[in-house]
Amino acid sequence: MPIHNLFYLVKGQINPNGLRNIGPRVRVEIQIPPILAEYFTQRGQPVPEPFSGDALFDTGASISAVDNSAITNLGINPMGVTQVHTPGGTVQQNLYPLRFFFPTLSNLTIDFNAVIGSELRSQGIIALVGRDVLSRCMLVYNGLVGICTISF
Amino acid sequence: MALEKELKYFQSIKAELLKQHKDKFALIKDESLIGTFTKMEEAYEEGVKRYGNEAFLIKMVVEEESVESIPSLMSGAINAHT
Repeated sequence: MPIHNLFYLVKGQINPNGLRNIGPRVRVEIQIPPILAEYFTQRGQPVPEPFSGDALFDTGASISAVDNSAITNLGINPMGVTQVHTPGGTVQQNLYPLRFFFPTLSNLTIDFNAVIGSELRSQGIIALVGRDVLSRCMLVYNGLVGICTISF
Repeated sequence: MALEKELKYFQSIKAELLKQHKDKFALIKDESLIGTFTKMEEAYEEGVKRYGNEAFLIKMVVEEESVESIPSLMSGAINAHT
């Protein structure tokens, strides 16, 4: 079970404000599921390139979300619908089958993940990693030092 | 919203599905039940095999559906997409 310490630097040094300012983030590639990639390959169709950016670990989120631009760029269609609490009540939202690949976490891959689409890029991220994924790992937020430790 | 037709159809057959397929994953396209599967991944694989990258519905057969919560969406800091 590899253990990863994520450092957030301020002026080149580990600083509690680094973690406080941007939250626990990590690089992520959003990919289409291997089954769909295989479908495209077998038909000689191009497989969409992974969509890269930062993901934010969000222990408040019961489900993960990806930015709408990733869904558009990957050209993927919904495979489900779920209910989500909003300020205006409960609404139905589409679920998309996407794969999370974390190159800086020993190439960790979450092979099949049903996520919702949201507007996230204005926050500087392309994905929120919710408790659906976090249920498979240990996460320690050390705000005193400014380090986040994650182990899958 | 995409999958509106499929969702409506699922609701119409849900009571029947609960009798014999509780806790399984139903795969629905248009107004047809393609099958039920033990795992969501299996349902997705069958869906891709039949329909490629078209939209189709996979829904767990349960009496009461759980409601997801993302407080950062609820605060309006981040906008949900339907």
